[in-house]
Amino acid sequence: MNCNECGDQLNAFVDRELTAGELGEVQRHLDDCPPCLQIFELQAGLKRLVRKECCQDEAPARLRAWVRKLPTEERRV
Amino acid sequence: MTPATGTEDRNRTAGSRVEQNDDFTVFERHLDALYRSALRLTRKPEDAEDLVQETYLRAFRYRKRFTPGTNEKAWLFTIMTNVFRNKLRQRPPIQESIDEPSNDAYIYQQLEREGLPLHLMTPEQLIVERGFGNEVRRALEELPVPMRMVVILVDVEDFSYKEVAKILGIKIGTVMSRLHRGRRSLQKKLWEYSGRQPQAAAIGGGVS
Repeated sequence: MNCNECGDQLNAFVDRELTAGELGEVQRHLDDCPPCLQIFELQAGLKRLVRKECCQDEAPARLRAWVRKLPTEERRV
Repeated sequence: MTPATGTEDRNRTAGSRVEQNDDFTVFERHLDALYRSALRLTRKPEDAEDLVQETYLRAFRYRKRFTPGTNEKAWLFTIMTNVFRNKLRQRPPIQESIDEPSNDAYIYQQLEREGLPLHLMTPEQLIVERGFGNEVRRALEELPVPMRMVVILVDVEDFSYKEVAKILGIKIGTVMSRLHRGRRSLQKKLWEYSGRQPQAAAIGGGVS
């Protein structure tokens, strides 16, 4: 596997979407190629960051109360 | 609505308001996930609340169509993304453009051109300590809706490509291309928000 081929698979690798065989090939390339490894770590770091930043928001208590009451309210209609 | 199936009759006791509520409480578990995604899609807390309410109303009304034991989170997100797309159609179209670098290594290349010893740095040093962290939500909200939806579903909600394809009713290949384009654009935006000028591309060109 060369760097271009590795680059093509990197998104799927970060998302754990590769088959065991494909995964092994990417992993072997990353073990031997520091620049590709850095790109991978940046991609994985960005993914973690997006998740962490977005998960800080929680539903307002008012909305939660509304959802809880929904079945009883709706059945009354 | 008049519930009249045998199960409901069995669960009902005189004066009880419980009535088969257990069949809906599994959906409440995903409220935070729906709300944070709604917030990224609508960009406004009040619109996000409306979107989530509409989603739960529909989920409740169509709850019989949900097959117990299947992925209820995916089902709720299918409803929400449909409701959101319908809402968008009712509004005057907004021209959304995507400023997309030509490959997936944008931040890496920028840092490299600044002459940083990349091999000595961890991803956290490269990204978080250099001030990209605070602007992530803003950058995400500026992505065009089709890309934003896919990035949210994959990166924040942890759905597989296959699940996202099903939720949005698109092909897996489309999921992947939207995801890649969204992430590239996100990298470029984060770089720009950090107050840095893009370094001239050494190869390939395409950086404005």
